[in-house]
Amino acid sequence: MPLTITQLSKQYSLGAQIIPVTSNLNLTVEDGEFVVLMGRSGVGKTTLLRMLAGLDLPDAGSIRYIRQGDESFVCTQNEQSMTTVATLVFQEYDRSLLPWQSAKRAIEWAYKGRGDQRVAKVEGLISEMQFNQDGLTNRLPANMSGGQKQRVAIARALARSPQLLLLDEPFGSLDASWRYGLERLLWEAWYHAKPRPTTVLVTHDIEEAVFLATRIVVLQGKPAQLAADLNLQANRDAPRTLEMRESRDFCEYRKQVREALHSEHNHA
Amino acid sequence: MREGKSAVTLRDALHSVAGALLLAIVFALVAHWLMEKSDWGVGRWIRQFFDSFADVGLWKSLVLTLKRFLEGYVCAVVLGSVLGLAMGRIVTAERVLALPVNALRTIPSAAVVPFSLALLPAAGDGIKIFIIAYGSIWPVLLQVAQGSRDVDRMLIDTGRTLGKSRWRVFFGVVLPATLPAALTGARVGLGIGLLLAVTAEMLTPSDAGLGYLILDFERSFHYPQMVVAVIVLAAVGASLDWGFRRIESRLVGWHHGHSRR
Repeated sequence: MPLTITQLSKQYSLGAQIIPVTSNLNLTVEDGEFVVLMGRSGVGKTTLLRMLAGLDLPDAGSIRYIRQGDESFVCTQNEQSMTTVATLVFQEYDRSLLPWQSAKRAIEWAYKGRGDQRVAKVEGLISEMQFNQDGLTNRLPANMSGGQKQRVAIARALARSPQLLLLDEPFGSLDASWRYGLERLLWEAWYHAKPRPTTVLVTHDIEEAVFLATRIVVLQGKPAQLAADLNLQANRDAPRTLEMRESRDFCEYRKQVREALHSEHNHA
Repeated sequence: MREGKSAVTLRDALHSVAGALLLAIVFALVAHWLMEKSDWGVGRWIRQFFDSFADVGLWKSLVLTLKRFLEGYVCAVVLGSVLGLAMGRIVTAERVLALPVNALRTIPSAAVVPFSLALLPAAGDGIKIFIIAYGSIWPVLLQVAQGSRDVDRMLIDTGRTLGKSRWRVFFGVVLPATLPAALTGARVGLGIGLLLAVTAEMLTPSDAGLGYLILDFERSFHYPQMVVAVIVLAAVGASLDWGFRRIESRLVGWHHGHSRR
């Protein structure tokens, strides 16, 4: 099991008040899985992603990541070693772009390594993201729209090719056509990568969740607990096309997710 | 928004000309007043005025003053940046240094001169460089401390989540994000440093330098020469500031404060 979350607890103190975010949360994610994490706003999805990214430490419990095909390479939540394998695309993509880096420079910075390989990778991402067509390649974030910044933030994360890719509502401010395009792009990048990065994506959009995921996990409650865990078996190798979004499997999964989220409302 | 580029540049040029005229009137009034105080005729006054531009001693003094200024100023920028970064990024350093920094920076620079005279060897450049550095370090230090403290947490997290080491994050994120504030501090320090370079030359034992010259000309009633020395000083200050702005917009053009113009 590459990613194992055991008895994970995290709380925030707001003045004298202590707010539990997660308590004794357990979750195991398979190699190269595409997990979509859903649940109400404030349930602790972002907190969980930040702990997985190694940016925040849990109060108790553990996170372990074992590299594919190399059992001796283990990352834990301690000493922030998760940052060596994980990259998080922040929800606040706006604030996460370095104001002095153009789109191209940001991608170069994220790519580890130099020389021809870097040039190829950077050029590849720039053309996939259509930065040249939109004149974004050498533009600074201050002169980009929200959606354009978001594209740069995603491209930058892909440039690093992390083993553990974490995305926090990455398509929030994109218009419908870009949204679909980028969902496909992300899926392609994930699907064709060798080895596939273990991916955890947070979204509120059911269509998007079912389109991307091989597995959907719903968090609920305070502290957050696993409310639903759906395995989207038929999704594993299905090509992502517009037709796929109309398929019987898709509609069935969508119904299941809707019910899982709906039951959450009934509980609350 | 734009109403034809040439119209804008023409108006800008007119504004500049008006400013230059205003400055010329001020200088003419000062010169006129000084002329009345000396009993030379206007012709001799004007001749002396223009002759003193050709005086080698004036330019040698300028070079000397600039050298002293630069030595003190560079010390201030380097030390101020290091201390400022320490205060902005290391909690312990902030707690220890806050009191001494706030106490020392409120001492008026002119009051530092007698202290320096009492504590340091009065002759030579050392004391002047110290006074310049002492005065110009504070804006650099405070701006760097504030700027580095205020670096958006999200930018630092971005560096970390892209797998950058602590040092990479420091040099690749914290330093560039602090640069706009640091340059603002350095530009304020530039003005203070130049002021103190001249003051130090007037108040400590000197035999050359623009500050010394201005005082010497005044005491020996060489008013045209004095006016010229002041004009040279003003021109140097203005050009340094102008050059600094150029460097600033080149380095931190991405910063929103510089995106206009």
